[in-house]
Amino acid sequence: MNKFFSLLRAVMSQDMELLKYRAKANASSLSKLLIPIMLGALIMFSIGSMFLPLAIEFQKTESTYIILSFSTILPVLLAFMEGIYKSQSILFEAKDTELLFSLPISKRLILLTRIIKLYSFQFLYSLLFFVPGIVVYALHEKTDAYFYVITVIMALLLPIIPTIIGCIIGFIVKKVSSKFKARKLVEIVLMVSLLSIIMLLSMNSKGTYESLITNSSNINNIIKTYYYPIGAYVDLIKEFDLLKFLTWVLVSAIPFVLFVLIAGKIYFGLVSKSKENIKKTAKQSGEYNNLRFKQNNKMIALIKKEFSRYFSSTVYVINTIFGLVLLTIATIALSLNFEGAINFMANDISREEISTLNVLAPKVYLVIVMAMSFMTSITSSAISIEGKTFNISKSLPVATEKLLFAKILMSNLITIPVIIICDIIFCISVNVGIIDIVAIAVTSFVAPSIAAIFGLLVNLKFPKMDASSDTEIVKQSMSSMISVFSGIILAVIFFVITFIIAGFGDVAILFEMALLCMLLLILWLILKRYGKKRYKEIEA
Amino acid sequence: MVEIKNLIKSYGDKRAVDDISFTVNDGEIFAFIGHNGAGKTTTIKSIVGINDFDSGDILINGKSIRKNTIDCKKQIAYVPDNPDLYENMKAIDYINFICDMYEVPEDVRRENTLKYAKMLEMEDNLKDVISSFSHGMKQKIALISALVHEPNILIMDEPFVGLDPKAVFDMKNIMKEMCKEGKTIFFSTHILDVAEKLCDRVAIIKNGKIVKVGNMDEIKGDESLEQVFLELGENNNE
Repeated sequence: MNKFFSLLRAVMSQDMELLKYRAKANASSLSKLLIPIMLGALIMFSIGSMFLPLAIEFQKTESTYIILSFSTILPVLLAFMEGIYKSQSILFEAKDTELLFSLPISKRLILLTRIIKLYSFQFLYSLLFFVPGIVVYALHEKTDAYFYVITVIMALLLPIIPTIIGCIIGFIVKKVSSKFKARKLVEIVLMVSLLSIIMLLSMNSKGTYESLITNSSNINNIIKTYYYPIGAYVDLIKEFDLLKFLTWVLVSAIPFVLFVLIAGKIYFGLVSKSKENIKKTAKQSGEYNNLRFKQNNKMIALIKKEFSRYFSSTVYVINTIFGLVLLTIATIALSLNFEGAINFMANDISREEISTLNVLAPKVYLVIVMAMSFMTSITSSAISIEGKTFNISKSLPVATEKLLFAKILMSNLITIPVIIICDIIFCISVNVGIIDIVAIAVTSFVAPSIAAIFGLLVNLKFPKMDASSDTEIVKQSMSSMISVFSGIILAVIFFVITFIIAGFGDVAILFEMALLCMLLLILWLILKRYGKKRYKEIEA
Repeated sequence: MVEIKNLIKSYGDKRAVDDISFTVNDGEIFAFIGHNGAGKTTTIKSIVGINDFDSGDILINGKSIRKNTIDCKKQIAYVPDNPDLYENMKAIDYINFICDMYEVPEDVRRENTLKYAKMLEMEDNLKDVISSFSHGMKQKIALISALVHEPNILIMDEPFVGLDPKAVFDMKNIMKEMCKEGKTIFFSTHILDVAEKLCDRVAIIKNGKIVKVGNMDEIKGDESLEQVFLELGENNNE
């Protein structure tokens, strides 16, 4: 048992600053905690604000408990999606794999500690969505100690099943991709396909959500059909039933135990195989005569290097491509059926309002482009992802501005072409005026550039050069969290500006473009002044 | 020539390098020795422009690395203590990348890459991904990429770690050849026998301070470098 706890502590300490052996509760570690706590509070507050008006409506029909279902469905879906690709890094690509496999401990124990690590992250993330719902429910309904005990157990059980299912899919992806030479590419393609399928399925399940809202009396039965633990939780809140309670706990616990037992058997083989070198083709003497020695200019070479690093990390690609996939789906939806898309997004909207919104279609699209650009933060990990190789970059005879600019260009070369394609699809399908075309074109270049520079600045401020996996950088670092949430805030600000100035005519939108360009210029000047200095200060 | 003048570098309250000064001349192989954590890597990283320093200066052929960073770096090749290279790249792509950064013409990079790759028995591995290499193979790629742009100054941190005996032998010959051409070689090592036989001059660093610097013969006298190093350690501990 001691072995288990030592191992667990060692595995967890890589990611959680607080659990590190040498960590002290000094001022600097407290200040480090302040930003994630504030971000967490902000997210919880935003989600709580969304649940509040729903709770008022549900209270009128004595069905406030639906809030409980909603606040549990969201983290379950999130944990499932996160589980798929987080499992890749935490279970298969952790840097301490070789060290742990060399120790006299069972492989199953290693898997168990890693799953607990994965579960811990999922648990923390799910709390962000679960707690606001519980608070809103508690504000509208009488609650007692029993409610809180059951809720705490639910919070603990909540991420288990989606995480295990996510891990199984992660296992399958790993297994399939390990059979290919270009395994990273196969992994990325599989993951993006899965992501798109999940998104499309979520859109198609609209009917189910409508049923949930309109037919609240059957809500538990519908949820039970899809996900038993949530229905059982809502039932248990109403009335305690020992059998139901035991079933509820076991339904979550058994898959976890089974997964550790079964996957533990193949875990070592799978990880070893995925770490094995790609089968080398038999070398013929003189093969080196075919080597290419093509000279590139420095910037092209740097951009190629950035691309090579980006596409070598599945979790990096998946985490940052999310916004672009959403943009593509939203563009197709808007272009093919604007009325339907708006209907999908807002239920209780009238036909007259839809026709008004139709005129606003370019503005809606503009806001979507901005939101997706601001939330696609590739550069927020671009410094940290270099890890120890950061020293190579620093030793090169290249100006710091060029090194930083290459990262911005790489980000823009990924985002802007996708956005331009979406622009073309949208402008062909929807009747768009010349001013709107100009606004869309400007936004398509400026918004991703803002996101790229801002992300880079944040990463320069909060670099994480000693990460044990790419997931730690891309998902759990201060830099990526701040970039994404700042992106959301920026998107909301520009959303408000867009619809305020829409009332002043088409030309007013040009004012917004000027505002965007000004923001870009300010960020660029900050990067030139602060970024260069900060880059030199960072040590890997 | 590398001139280190009153270099000071601290990490928080701890002085990793404490007011050190010495010069590495052209056509000289200079060994930098010291125990673990003495300040060797910090000094080397400051010389090659990876780390900034608190005070003092480092001159590369008369130019300050702080003021003329790019010009200085163009003359230097650096081999790190751990070959943390771009794992996702093929060896040839990595070498080409380094050549692009140093603006090496195609014919020169072809000739030098093949020359050093053959010498270090890596010519059949140039098309492989770096992540598939052993530590020693990565070290060889780091060496090839350092030599391929024909640097005037070669700075290496523990260059022999992980290399097989033949590669160590070849590397020593390369260093001697470069030395004959008037180039400057500065490296840290724990292999005192190699340092003793190969180097013209040596500096010994302890707790961030230079405790001895000079010609190899003067420093060791009738003793071996190992004995001098151990005695210095004991004296300083007393």
